[in-house]
Amino acid sequence: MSDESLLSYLDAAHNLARWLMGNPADAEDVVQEAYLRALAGAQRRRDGDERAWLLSIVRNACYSSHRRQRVRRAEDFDETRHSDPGATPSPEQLALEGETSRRVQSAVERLALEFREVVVLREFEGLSYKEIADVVAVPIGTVMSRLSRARAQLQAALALDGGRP
Amino acid sequence: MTCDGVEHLVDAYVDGELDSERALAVDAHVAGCAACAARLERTRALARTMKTAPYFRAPEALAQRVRATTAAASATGRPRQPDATRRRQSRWWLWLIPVASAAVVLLAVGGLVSRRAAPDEVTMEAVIDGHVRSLMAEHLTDVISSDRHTVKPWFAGRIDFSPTVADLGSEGFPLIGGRLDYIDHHAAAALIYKRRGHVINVFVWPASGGVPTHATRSDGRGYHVVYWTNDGVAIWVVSDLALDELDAFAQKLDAATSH
Repeated sequence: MSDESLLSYLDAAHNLARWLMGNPADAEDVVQEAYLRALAGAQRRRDGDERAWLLSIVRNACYSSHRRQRVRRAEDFDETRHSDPGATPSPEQLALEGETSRRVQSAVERLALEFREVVVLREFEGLSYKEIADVVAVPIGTVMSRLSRARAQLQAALALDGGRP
Repeated sequence: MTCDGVEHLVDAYVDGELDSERALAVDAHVAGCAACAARLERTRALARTMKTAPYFRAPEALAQRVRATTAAASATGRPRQPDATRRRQSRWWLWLIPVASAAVVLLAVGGLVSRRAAPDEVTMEAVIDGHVRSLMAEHLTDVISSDRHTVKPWFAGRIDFSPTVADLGSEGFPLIGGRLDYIDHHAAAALIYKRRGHVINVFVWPASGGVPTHATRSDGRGYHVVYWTNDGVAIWVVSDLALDELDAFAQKLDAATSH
């Protein structure tokens, strides 16, 4: 496997890391670390979906980083949530969907990590349940129940249920 | 199909993950049930709304940075571990770009002679660094369990070899858990044991030759390392435990993992 084929998943790697880390600087550091890990394991990686394999490394690197930074994150979480120069939607999207987009982003960012990751992998990366199960290292049934609970929380946050409780 | 059934399957239905038989059953129920039809529509509406979320493409600077450092790692064969203690917004990696360039130039010039110390010396430093890192970074374990039947399967799919996990609790060395680590340029299984208050890291990876059989070393910082190869596997044991105790642990571990 060449480095170039790994680099073709850089956007997906960065998108996942950005959602899981919550700020651009940490996301970039995590992607960097994940690519080094991937490279170290590239010769001996398991067969199968290369994208899912790389995303699992990114995901694990995010969790490692969270563990290392638990204390510091607690201190400046609010500060990072609202500073976001990373997204680049088109001007048309901004005009039409700007408000909704911000609300969706905020709702996703408020999900617990275990729910956020399945939402990002399913809704933004289009992974199948099987691929998500591989990335997150849980059974497919767990993917389904987490996704279902995550969506219930998102619907409540976005008031898509017509205001019903 | 019942309303409960639809509630259970509506996400998988919208995601196209249902087999056709169950998808048709959902269709049939929804056609005659206003509540479930509304539920389905809400789920679809959420899916549409989610598409407005920002997608964070990798900035070009990150692409350059990843290229530079993966090139550096390929050139030297030793990926660098990012510094866990860096400050937010730091750009510690900038210096890697000239390093990568220099490494590439050195390779291009040719005749690059390894300037590394003896392999076991380098690995010993890496093993001790890995041990210290595991204690400092709140990252001692990825899987916490004293049950070797939990720890061993955890590594499946994460690394492509299967470390032998021994239960030495009855010998006074309880198993704490496992962790994925990178030592030198190996993906390594790290098994964590304890002896009283002391942490023992056992790093395991497939042996690639050149590792001497059973040797014991100490470094100036109070860490002790015992290492050996067994059936194509390199095993490095590191701790601040007294050397004779660590060696006793190593012998029990070797005995328990040899067949």
